[in-house]
Amino acid sequence: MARKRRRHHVLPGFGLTLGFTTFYLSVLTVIPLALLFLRFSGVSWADFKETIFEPRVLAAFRLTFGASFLAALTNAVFGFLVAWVLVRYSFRGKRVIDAIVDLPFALPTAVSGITLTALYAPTGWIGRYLPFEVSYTAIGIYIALTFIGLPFVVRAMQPALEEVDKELEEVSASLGATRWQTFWKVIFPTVAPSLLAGFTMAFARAIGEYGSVVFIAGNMQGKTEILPLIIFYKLGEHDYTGATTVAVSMLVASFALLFFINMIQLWGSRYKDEEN
Amino acid sequence: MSIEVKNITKWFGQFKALDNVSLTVNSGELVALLGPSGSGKTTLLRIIAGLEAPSDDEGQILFSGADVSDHKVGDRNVGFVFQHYALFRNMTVFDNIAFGLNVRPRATRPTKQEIHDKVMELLRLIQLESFADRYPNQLSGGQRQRVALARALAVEPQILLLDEPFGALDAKVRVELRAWLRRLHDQIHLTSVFVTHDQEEALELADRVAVMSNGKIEQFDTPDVVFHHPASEFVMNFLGTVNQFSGRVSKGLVQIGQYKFRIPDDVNLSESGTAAIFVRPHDVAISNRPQPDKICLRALVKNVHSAGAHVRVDLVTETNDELTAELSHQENEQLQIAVGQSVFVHLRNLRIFGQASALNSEDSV
Repeated sequence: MARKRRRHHVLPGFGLTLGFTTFYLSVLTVIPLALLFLRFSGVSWADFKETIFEPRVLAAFRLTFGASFLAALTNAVFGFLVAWVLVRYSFRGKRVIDAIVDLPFALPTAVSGITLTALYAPTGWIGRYLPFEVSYTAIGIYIALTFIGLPFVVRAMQPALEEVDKELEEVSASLGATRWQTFWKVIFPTVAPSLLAGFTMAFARAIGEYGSVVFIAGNMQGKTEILPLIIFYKLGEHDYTGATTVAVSMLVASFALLFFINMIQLWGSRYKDEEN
Repeated sequence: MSIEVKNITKWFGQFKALDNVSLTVNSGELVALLGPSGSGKTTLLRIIAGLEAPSDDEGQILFSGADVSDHKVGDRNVGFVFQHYALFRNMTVFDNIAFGLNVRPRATRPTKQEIHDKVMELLRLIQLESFADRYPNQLSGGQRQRVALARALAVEPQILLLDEPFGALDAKVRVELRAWLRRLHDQIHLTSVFVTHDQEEALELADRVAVMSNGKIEQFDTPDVVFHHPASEFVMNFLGTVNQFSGRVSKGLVQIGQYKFRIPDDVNLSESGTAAIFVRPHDVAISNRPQPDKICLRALVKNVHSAGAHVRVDLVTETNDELTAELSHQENEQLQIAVGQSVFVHLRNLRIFGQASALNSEDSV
């Protein structure tokens, strides 16, 4: 009597949880995205070209991706430093600093936007001492994007740095390497994938950032307008086709970037220990 | 290059990891630090390497008579090998081995060709010539440990320190690598110290074994002496399986249960009181009739394990002590030992260690 045996998963609830996950992801992300692309599929090539190659939109592209990249790069350097200090040393007030790192996460973006604007305005606490304009310039945008991106790098780096094997450093030292050589040749390559991950997240977040930027940016046409703002304007003008076009281009550009960075990361971790 | 360890004490918070330890390793010697975990053996090795500093200023480390206590690990010219290899996984086998040469300041760094030749020579030594371009994760455990060893040897250290070098390997590889390391040591004449908790490994590999317990060296001697003439109860217990009786000692007699025997001549025990009496399983002989001159007890056979190189027999003596005997298959066949059988056991080479002498007054054997 041959009876087909039903295979059961060792952990119960697989069907239920997978079903829910699929449903949840569909409602939350897949359906809106699909709708966006559906809408975009009706856009003609001429319309697309006209929208994208409009100088104002092109400028916004350059500004958004450029400032986001620089901000993420800055965070990669200083976020690494903050994470390093938090992981490698113990000192008074460490927990406070650790908590402060999360502030950009926790603060409503509009609040941070207004705060930064007030600080960096020509009469503000910081702005008055600076020899150059910050508010209402690209520098202001860069500062706002740096502010919101910091926690991404720090939080990505902390576990990686904690995992750095003390024995690797000891071996390196016993072989005569200096601290600096140990850092660059041994520690840095092992944490580089995490640094790249943190950089990517900060970058991605910065590209889409709206609230904290619009106040300090001043939104001067063709000069300090960021892409999300362009979409906002176009929607305000009932130019749904234009808004969709910009949105999809932004999406594709971001996606391409993330994909590229992920490929680098994959390549960088090719020698990762599978066993451990 | 000889190593002298003088009066080293190490505290970790409230825990005394090393208690005024002194040790001298002769040039070219292979020494094992043997002990259970927490005995301080790894700490001692790390202090010799300079990876850890002693807790007070009295301790000294001397290499060939020169005080290196204040030298950093990089300046001591020691090769250090970790249990889990600690290979740089972002580098190939070649780059791992070349690391110590590549990080030298330009003035003392060998040329690219010299480094290449040196690395290839070491790869030949560890029999991994064709693995130069592999990454550590493409190697087996034994291969990784050999690469780690080659990396340590590349900087031509005077002293090689190995922390549980075979601890992470499976049994068969461990035995192979052990024999290989012994040959290597004889070939390159480094002064080597290795840490292990495996007594078989220590006894087989080392010229001398330092048995450690609770931050102290209990005995430091050749494997033969340590095994056959253990200096303390701890050493006796730690090296190999052992049967233990509690008995009493007085006036040249040892008492087990109601039986009294003359203390064997090689036992040097003048005090009297309760004593721990040890006998190794291979020093327990079994026979069907008593032999009056010897230390002999009646016993009951509880279990016979004959799968192995020797036959192991578990017994319970008439004094209610559990006892394990080890005999050859040939002896076993002659005696036809069966479970439940009553036999006589003769104990050879007793080792007796006196205990709390405070009990002496109560003792009236």
